[in-house]
Amino acid sequence: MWQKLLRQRHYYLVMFVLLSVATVAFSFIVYAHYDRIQDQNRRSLFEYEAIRQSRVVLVDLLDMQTGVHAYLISGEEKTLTAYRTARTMLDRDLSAYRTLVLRYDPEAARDIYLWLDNIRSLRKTFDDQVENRRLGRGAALTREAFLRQVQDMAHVRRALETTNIKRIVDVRLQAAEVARARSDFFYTLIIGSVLLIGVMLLGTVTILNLEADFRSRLAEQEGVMQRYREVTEGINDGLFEVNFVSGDFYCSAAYKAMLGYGPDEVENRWDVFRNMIHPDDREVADADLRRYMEGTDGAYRSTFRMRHKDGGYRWILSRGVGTGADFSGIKSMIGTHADITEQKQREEELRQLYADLETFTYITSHDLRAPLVNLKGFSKELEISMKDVSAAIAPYQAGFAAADQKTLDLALNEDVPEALGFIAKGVERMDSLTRAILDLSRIGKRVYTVEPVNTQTIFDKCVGALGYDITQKGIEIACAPLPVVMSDAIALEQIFGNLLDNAVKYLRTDVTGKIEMSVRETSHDYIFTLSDNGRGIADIDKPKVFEIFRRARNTTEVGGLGLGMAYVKATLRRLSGEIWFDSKIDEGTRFHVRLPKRPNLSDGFGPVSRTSTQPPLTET
Amino acid sequence: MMVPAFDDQFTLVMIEDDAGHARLIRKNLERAGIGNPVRHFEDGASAIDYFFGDHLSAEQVAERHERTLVLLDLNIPHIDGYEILRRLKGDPSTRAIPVIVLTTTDNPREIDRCYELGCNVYITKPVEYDNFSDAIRKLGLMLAVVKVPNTVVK
Repeated sequence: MWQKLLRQRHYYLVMFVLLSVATVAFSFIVYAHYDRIQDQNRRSLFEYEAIRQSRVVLVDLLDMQTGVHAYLISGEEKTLTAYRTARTMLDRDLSAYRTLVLRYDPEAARDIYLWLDNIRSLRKTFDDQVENRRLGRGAALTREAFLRQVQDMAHVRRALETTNIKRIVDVRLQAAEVARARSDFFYTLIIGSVLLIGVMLLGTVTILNLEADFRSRLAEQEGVMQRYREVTEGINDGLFEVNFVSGDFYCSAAYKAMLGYGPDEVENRWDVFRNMIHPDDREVADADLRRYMEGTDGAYRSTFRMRHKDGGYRWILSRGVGTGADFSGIKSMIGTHADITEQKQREEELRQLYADLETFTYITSHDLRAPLVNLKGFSKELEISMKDVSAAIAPYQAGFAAADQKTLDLALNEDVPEALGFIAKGVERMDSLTRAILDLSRIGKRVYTVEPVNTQTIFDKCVGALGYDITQKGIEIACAPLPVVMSDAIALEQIFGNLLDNAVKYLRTDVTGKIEMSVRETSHDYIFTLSDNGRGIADIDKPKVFEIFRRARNTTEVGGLGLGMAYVKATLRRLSGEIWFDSKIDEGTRFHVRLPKRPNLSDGFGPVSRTSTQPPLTET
Repeated sequence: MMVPAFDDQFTLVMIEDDAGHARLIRKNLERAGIGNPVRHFEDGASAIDYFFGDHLSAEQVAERHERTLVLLDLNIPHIDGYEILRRLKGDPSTRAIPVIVLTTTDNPREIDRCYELGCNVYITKPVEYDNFSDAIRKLGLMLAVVKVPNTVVK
């Protein structure tokens, strides 16, 4: 199942699309990760900056304190310079610190303001001390003021440290988070890489797959072409291709060679070759092509004569199929030409032979009957005359010598009647035989009409004709429902009639006769089977069953000429059917009759059905 | 025995190549009481000559074309029965002469063809002699009551 799935292109395409979407999603995830880490980096930078700035502020404060102390102790104006510088620095650094914190950490604003208040108050304390000293009021720093100053200083420092510790903790937390994010990022990258590799693999496999597919198709096509070439070369047929729209025509070297031309001797033009068709055959050839083009015929097939370079004509079997057919009809055709001249000649010879044979049998059988009339007539006349003689001499017989009387008696009452009897029997036999030959010769002359025939009706009719024998012998007849077939009703009646007649005639005398008719349908035919439990046909007699005037050795007491099966076989041949049988001596026989669903009537090569409907006439 | 009156006598022209058949036909016709004069021809040429030959006097022609009935076999040498039938029925002077085809052939197509050519009656010669003599006897009975045309339009 997997194999099958792996071979399906749709499956690959769906997977490819899914993985591509996943890759895009992955890119977004990577970006989000990166963004978060960047955020945290910025935050950490801020925290460090805040810590540094706060320490700068603290240093400014310390510088101020140092300046104040120096001034208080020395009272020298120039010592105030350090104090003033520190104070300016403090203002600037405080402002920077506040801006920094407010921008990046608004939540800390409250702490900041508290802290700023402390610083301001401390600054104020310093300023007051400087002012007091300058004005000389209480030149020395009061212990009280000093303590408050130290306290304020400690306070500011503590507040600063608290905030800074918080920030350091924060920075550490962030560092831990960044480390975790980094490992997450690593796994994401691995997954992403796997995805990408998958996409590439799938893509590659799909491409390889398509490539292999294409290759195998190409190979297949090449194989077909190779076979096609071998076949066309092998069978020595000429190849042609004609485009009815553009008028383009192609024909192979074999096509031209068939007509005695070299590959470059004749132009590749349809009208050139069409003109080579025998004038008498052009109409037929055109009609065959037209019927195919119009869709009346399923396949193009035509036979006609084409002029050979040597001036003679060759019979050509032309076959082809339309190509490029769509709703507007066939645009071009590709086909083959085969030289069937030899076949046609043989066919013609055979036809002639068959015609001769038929005429011969007809005339023979016919003319044999005329002398038979004489034989019969005059032997009868002789009989009548003999009776007259007997009657005439009867009164004088008593006067004859005993020996004469005996001779006369023997001649008149035994020898002559016996001779006449043998003559009559011989004539009788000869009459049946000539009649049989005549019947057989007529098969070829009969014109068959193919129409829907209900075989059930035919069979019932044949059973009816044998009704007397069937009831008399107590024969059981079984029959499956029989179909309607396309055939000739009279021929079928003769076939069924002969088979049934044989089955009834050659039943065994010691068991109840059983005759059964069944039918089987195949794609092209109906096969009728007539089985009996009769005396069967011995192996030695089997080859002669369909031979004319042959009768099996176990049938001597039953009358018959040995003609029926020969007649049936000949009739079926004309209906393009077939007959065969299987049989076992003393068990019975099964005759199978195949009737095609679409009979293609052969004319039996008879001269009559084709050229004239007249019987051959006697000529001396 | 019924003998037709002299006025009703017509000549039977029998065209039959087989002497035996001719003898048997005549024998059986006689048994049926037909005593008409019979002209027998054993081949087609002499029969044609009899009806259409040159050097015939007007009287002869009149005699031959009047009060005549033809018994015709089909399978005869030189000029066959069909040809004779065609000539007889194709010529206005002989068209009215009744022609009975009497032959061994019982092929339906040949029967049809003879009637198409204009034969008046078609009879098959049975091979079985009893049937044969029966058929001829019946033909004789028919001939005994048949009327033939008296004059023929020239």
